[in-house]
Amino acid sequence: MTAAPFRCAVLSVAKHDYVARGVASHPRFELTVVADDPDVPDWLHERNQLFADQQGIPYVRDIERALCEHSVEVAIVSPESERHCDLSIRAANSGKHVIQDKPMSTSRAECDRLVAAIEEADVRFLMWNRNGLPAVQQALRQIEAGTIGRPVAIHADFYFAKDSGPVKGSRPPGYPPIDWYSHQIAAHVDGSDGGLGRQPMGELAVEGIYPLAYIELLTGKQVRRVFARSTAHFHQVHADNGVEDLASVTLEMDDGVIGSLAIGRIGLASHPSGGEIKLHVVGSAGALVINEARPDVGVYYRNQPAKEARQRRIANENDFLLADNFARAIDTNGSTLIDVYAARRIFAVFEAALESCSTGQPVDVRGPDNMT
Amino acid sequence: MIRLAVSGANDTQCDELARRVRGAIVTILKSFDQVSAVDAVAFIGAARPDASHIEHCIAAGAPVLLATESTMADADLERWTRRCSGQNARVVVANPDRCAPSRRLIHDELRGTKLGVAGLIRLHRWESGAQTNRATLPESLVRDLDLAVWLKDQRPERIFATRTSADRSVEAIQVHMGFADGGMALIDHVSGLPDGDGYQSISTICANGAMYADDHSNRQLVFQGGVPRANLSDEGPRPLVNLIQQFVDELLSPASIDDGVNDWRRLQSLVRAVYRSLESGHAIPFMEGDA
Repeated sequence: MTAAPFRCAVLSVAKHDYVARGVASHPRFELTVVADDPDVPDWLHERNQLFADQQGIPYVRDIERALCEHSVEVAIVSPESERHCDLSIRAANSGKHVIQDKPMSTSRAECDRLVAAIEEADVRFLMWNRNGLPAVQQALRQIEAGTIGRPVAIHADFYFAKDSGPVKGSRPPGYPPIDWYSHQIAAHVDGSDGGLGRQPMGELAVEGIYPLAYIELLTGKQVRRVFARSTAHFHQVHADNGVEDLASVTLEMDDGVIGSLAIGRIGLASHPSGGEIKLHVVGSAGALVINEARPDVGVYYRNQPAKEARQRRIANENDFLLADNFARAIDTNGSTLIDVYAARRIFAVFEAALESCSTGQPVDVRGPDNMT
Repeated sequence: MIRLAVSGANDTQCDELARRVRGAIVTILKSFDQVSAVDAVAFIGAARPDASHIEHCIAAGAPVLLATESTMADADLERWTRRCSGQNARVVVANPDRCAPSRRLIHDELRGTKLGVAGLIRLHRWESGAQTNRATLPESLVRDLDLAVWLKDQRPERIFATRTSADRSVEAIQVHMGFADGGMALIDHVSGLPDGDGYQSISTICANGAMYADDHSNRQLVFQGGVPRANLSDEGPRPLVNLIQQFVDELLSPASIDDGVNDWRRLQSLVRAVYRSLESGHAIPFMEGDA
């Protein structure tokens, strides 16, 4: 007999609803309620209510009541970044398994609090990621089959060809700096919001989990030291708020493996299909060059909007694989593709990279409690 | 017409040059006794030329192009440059990789206005054949250091380099450069891969656009049963033709000659900074002229 689907509470869809939709696409999960705190801004209540209406489920302005009264087993967390950990912790404290949108947090203390809460509650945790994409899985199979031998170096390019407001240098003299929070709220209309929250966030924190997760998945190694450079190169909002929209990171990893990450929100004009995302993996017996967007189909037509991707991804199994992995983890009390410890490790890499950008020197990646 | 003798070229290459280069009669230099019968000599190819051959050309008053894949020793080039001073002879140093059509296109677009300032230049170069001497940088990596700085048109302010450990047959070296305007360059070099084709890629991310020159997308498929091969659509004889044509054009307009020596000196400083970073494990502030 097929088990009843896991009942899921969607705790805020402030940024995006793709995590909730992705989970719901799997038959073992059912969205049951949307919930948020009563004192969130009206614009956020509107987004939550809209999503709830689209799903035909109630929206409850009380997280604890929703978790309690709707027989919820799983919480899907997608608020603004600075509330990620708080909502996940509250869900874990209520005994719910947690699927959380990225990034883990903007705060080391919050990350550690979340790790402790997940451990204490002994619930499953999944940081939403892209490790299930067909090209990434194909690369993994090649490596696991020994095709290229043992990985010795890995490089990830992760460029989102998206705009983020006016270009750098366009602010007229005497005009005030662009407010980060207001900009992100307004940018939701065209999907160019990245790093929604009151605290400005650069691309390393906003998107870096994806390529760093690829790197850990494909090498099985942890990053121990980084050297990084960053700049606001494209967008006025990043320049005004002191965060980067372009960064490069050299990675020194376990067992002498080296690597790099180049990441940026590089502007709509810089790629015909949303951004160049590539993996270069060098092994002891060969190497791989992987276009993360494949397989795809090219679609072109007259008067096509500039923002519409020309190459469209197909056969994207990521949502199903992540949700399937989470269901199995719940069933077997097993681990997830990116559990709370992996997410914490990735946070530590960003933290070190941002410090390196500031000091101009390589920085050791620090684990919890400042232990290397 | 300039009579140009080329050392280090094979017959096929020389035929292509003879057919395509304007303003010059191109021949293979079979013996250095021929130098007095030509107007200029170009050294190309993989091997570093014998210093005595270059000195012979200088003594004969022939302008010399040094564009081999292997760089010259510091002291030799400085000596030759001094010897040429005030004479018709001159030494021109060139990185042959700059002349590949793809690299020229990227360079020319960066000097235009459409793409804006380069924010990140990322190079990959993978080669078969082991790096036998870890105390020196692979010559192709040295050329890529030059390429990155040439494209960026700035010297870096900081350099960090790292490499895989010595007990591996495949060696990877990575150089990470930061520039004063916030720009960056990442150069990945791998040697010791299994015999066969190598791989190159340049991505240039600019303020208003980007350029991608990637072997990955320049491959054609060959199906012969089993897994198909992916054959590179390479740039043919164009890189060499461009290199020689550039030299000939400069000889025909002497006032415009860029002998490349300053770029070469900066490159040597960069190489020394990379060594210091590899040895120390630190990022090195870059000062041109660093010993």
